[in-house]
Amino acid sequence: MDRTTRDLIIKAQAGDTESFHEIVTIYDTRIMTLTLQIAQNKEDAEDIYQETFVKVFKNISKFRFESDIYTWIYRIAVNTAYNYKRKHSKMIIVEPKEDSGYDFLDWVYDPQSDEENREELVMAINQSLLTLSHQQRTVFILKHLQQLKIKDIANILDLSEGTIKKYLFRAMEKLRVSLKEYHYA
Amino acid sequence: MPNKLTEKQKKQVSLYVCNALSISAKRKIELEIKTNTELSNYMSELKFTINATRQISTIAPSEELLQGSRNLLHGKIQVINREKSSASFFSSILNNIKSGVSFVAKKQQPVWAVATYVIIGLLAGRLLFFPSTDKPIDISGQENVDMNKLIQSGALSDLRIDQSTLSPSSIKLVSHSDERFNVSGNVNDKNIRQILYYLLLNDEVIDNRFQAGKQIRRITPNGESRMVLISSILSETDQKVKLQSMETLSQYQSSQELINACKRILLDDRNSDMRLEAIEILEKNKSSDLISLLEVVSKMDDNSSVRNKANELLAELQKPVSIEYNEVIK
Repeated sequence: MDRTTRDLIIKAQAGDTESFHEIVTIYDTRIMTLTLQIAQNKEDAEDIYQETFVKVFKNISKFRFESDIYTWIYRIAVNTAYNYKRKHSKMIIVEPKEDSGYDFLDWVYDPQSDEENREELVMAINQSLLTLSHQQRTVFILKHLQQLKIKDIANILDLSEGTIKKYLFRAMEKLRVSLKEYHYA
Repeated sequence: MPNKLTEKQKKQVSLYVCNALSISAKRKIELEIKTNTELSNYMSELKFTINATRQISTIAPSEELLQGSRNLLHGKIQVINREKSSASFFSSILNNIKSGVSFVAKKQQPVWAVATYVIIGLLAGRLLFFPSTDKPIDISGQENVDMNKLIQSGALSDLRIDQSTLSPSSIKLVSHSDERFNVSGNVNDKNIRQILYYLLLNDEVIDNRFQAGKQIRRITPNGESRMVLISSILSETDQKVKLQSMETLSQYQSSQELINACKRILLDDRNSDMRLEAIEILEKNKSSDLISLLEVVSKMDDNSSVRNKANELLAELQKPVSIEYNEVIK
């Protein structure tokens, strides 16, 4: 953690709201990306974002510099997403729409294949992600989409590195089996 | 197809793909992959799975989404801070009473003594909440009054603005439950201003908030009243009160806080009149920073007047320097 971030945290712990908002600006792109990946719809992602940072604000005085602030914020975000999902059953995979600002198809660029095939792959991936348990899915997202280290994921989820590797293997194996046909298509 | 692979081999390859193996284990599996086609296919399938999922699920949030969320968070944090500051006072009183009671309990006093202390504690609480004398509460003129004490006395909880006596610059405030509280003066008097701010932001009755907002319009614009009005447009639940605060703000000189609040209103507020007012305030502070926001509003807003207004302002901001202006320069 660099000195500037450390200073900002100390000031925020002393009640300086502006410093808190600066901390938000440093980490919120990553957190919003994470919540969009977990929730897969914009409305829920925004709610989780708000809940996460309100909790960060309320608990920042409890942060003891024993870990990196981003792993601490990630932990809050992941727990908030879990609880949110439990409370709101509407958090399901949404099908891509043409006029959506977050059309998943936008991120798949393959000039060789046609739209239909891509859409089918998108659906298959979304469905496969749904077959994973919460833990498997979160570990997969944190590792392969957020590109965090296994050590950091263990820290965020408060689990051993061995357990993380086990979840990761199970998640990858399930997804591999579901998507195998598209690889050879 | 990689069907004959052992569970251990699969695990090793998946950890290899995750870059989670030691150097020696990594070298070992690399050698194995070179010679074992099934293992190599398995790795290729895993890599395809990861890449395809990454491409599809990596959703970069737009700057508008982030800015809107940050603004909303700003408002929530303000509310939390406000709640915290008022709650801390009451909890300190409660703690004092509680600690008095627990001290008495620890000393194993007889029941009658404990009861006496509790009654004393409650009386002390009452004395803290209500003024101790029957003297009229005089806060007229420029005399400084402790607003916290006034709030705690309960006098502000049912305060009304006496409409009948209003003259262009004067104001009269009366308390329904406490006849001693009867204040008149100029809306620009410091104490009266503070009470009006309090009523606008805290009174439970919508009409009182509306009347307070109406009086705040008469106050000579200053930084303090601007912040109060900004707080009102961001946290007020009643549309009429909120719109009145917004209209008052349109008479004020701009500030960064006001611009940020208007941007948030433009993105989040459900009332199209509020959004129109917000554009009008932003119009007075033309800046290229507004272009991306206006582009979103001009396309996405569900109200045609707001979209048109956003389009007009957008066109102005994107307009090249006019010929007349160039001629003047020449």
